[in-house]
Amino acid sequence: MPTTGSRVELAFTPVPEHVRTARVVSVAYARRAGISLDLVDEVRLAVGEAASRAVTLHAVHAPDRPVRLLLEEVDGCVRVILEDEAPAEKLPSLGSSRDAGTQLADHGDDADNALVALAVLQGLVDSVEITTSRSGGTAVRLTWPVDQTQRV
Amino acid sequence: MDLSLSTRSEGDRTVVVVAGEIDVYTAPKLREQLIELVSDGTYDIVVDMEGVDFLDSTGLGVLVGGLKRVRAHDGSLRLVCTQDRILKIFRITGLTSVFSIHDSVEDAVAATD
Repeated sequence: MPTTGSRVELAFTPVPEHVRTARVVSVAYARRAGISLDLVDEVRLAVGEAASRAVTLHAVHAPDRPVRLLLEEVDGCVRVILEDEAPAEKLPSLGSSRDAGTQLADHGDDADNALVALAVLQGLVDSVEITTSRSGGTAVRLTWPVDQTQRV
Repeated sequence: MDLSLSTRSEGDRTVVVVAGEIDVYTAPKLREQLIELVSDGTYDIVVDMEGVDFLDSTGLGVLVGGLKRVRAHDGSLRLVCTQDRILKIFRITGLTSVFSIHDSVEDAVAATD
């Protein structure tokens, strides 16, 4: 059983195949921590969107730099932080997930995938925080409550 | 393989059966399949998503891209999906109003609207 404060850090080459790696690790961590099953699906999709965004941005701006995923338990919650190193002059603003839908409807697979991913995140997860990361890129922070009785 | 695709004919429709995960890594494969069908003159497509385990915004973009391509030829691209967790991303983006989403391949093939 994980103790409070257990932590996983993953740094991965910013390639599309590792978006799934980030999802799988996050789901495993979330299940162990006791996040309810319906929320674990949310973790999977949210981490997927955040990681996709980071990989898309790194491909253009920082192809040789890793994307970082941090998972930890803080104050009865699982906190996921996904950090990229794409230069962020200003913090990206979250559109609504409906804005993402409009972008997709207008542009299809030519949509700005990084923007769309962020907007979908906003519609999916109650607590999304965007801050500047240590490296000058963006840190996307997601939080989910833990149910102690559901620890695996 | 994370994503498997197969196609078959049903009536005057082509059914693309998708299984596995559609994400930024695998979505290009689906995109290429849809592009290939359209360039072969197939404009009435049903995408059977009952075997799809995961769909993200990149996958949604590919489906919208496919819809636009067939519509340019007055065609149709209908989806078969009954899984709530897959439908969720359509709902939160409002794309349930853009696609015809059916409960079965039979329904999708028979639909004419």
